[in-house]
Amino acid sequence: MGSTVYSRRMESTSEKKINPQEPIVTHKDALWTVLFGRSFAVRVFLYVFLGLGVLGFGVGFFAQVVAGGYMTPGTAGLMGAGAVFFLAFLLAYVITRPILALAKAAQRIMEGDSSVLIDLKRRDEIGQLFRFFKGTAKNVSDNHEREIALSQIKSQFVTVAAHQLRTPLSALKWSLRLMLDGDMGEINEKQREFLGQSYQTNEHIIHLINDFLDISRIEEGRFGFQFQKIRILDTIQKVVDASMAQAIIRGVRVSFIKEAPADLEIIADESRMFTAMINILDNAVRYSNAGDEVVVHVALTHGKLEISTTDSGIGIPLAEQSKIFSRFYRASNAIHQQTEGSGLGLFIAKNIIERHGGTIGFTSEEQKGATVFFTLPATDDFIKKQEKSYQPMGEVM
Amino acid sequence: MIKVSLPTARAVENSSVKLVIVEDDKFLRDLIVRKLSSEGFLVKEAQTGEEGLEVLREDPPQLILLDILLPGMSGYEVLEAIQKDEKLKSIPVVMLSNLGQKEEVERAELLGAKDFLIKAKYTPGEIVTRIKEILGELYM
Repeated sequence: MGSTVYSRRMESTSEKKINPQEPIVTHKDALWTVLFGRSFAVRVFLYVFLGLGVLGFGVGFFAQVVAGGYMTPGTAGLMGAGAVFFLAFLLAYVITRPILALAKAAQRIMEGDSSVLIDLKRRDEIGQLFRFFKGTAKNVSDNHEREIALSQIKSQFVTVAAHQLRTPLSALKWSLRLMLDGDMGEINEKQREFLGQSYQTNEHIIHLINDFLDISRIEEGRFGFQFQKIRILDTIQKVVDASMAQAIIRGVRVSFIKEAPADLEIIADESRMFTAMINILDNAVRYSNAGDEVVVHVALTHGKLEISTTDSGIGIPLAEQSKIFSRFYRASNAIHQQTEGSGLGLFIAKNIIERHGGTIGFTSEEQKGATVFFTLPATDDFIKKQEKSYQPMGEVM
Repeated sequence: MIKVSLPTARAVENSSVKLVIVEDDKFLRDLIVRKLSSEGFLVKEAQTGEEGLEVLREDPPQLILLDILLPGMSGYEVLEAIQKDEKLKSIPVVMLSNLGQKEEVERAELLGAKDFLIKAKYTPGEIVTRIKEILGELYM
């Protein structure tokens, strides 16, 4: 986990580098502005001064001894070199120690430890830097905590709202269904028609709430899957059947072309897969014109199942094609044609398909239609991988 | 009252099957009880977990329908109590709730629930079908 955080932070740093901000100059002015006082610059200055003094003294002494002949030039040179080495070491130590401490603190914050204790005894620029750093670190950790708290509140809100809304909607669903099924006595055709429409409207609200729940789970990374062997063509057939109600209303024909063995089994979460495919097919039907045909095509090539849904409806404007898989996004021509729709369908579908190891894409031309295609791995090794990471229960929605 | 309109064949098929439903929402309870009774099941109702346990101990049924969010004892607590009761622990429990996230389902299964049906997802007819499937697996 640590490495993920690290790479993410690295990305954000490199993003900041692109930002054409004035670089902060650290190597100029310091000595001129702060010559006296309890200053790091003064201390460095004093060390260097002392060093040069010792060096000068050494050189003088060396000259004298060479003239006097008390010491061999080699010994004197060695002493001088020793003095320079010692000074260099001292300088390096004094200068780098606080920087290393700062780097260590920064590293710990980067790794997610917001409770870094920084010694604030120093009163010089380094101390000041540490104080600024501590302030920044605190801001970062405050923001981080606020973000976590906000996302928790949001997800709690969505969950509570969803569950509280589901109860009265279930009551509506059940009573309308009982009336439609004749459990409350005989009903005439007109009554059946209106009750049927009420039932569909209610189903639409339930669907929307389920979408909100799914989105909040996706965002939290808690969107559970229940993988098992399924006969994928049967699932697609169910999706095609489920789209019929809407297709009949809109006067659209849905055909299903199968170029894969009918008994082909893949590892998938059937209920999630159904959601992904109905979202795609529902769009195709919804944005087709009356009399149009929607074609669902399934083919098996190179261990991959390729599923495409083609319509000849309103299409997606070129300028908006990059946003089509983002949540809450609806193409402008779609909104114009139909106000109903949450803009969540394809976002959820993409998430589900990618969790199955597949990819999703589309081609479209405005006013001419769209093809949404996706692949699902049907190979043995993918099946083995999924079985290994088998999650016993998914959300049963 | 309801039995008058129900098809005789179905009534005979399920007439000896006793069910208990624990559900606090009166409207939902009335609807599902109506459907179950019309299918010929003998249904006893309870509004709370405590009341449910009392009804269960009085006359153990063949299947229990159990909500999770209840006043007083929660559905999970009722499940635990059922599992601890020698007389009740072999009775299949079907959770009927509007919760239904992975954790909630897992928790219920861990406590011995046979199935988990989300109210907003299943119609009364589908619930009946599922109940018949479970009863078929267990008692046929």
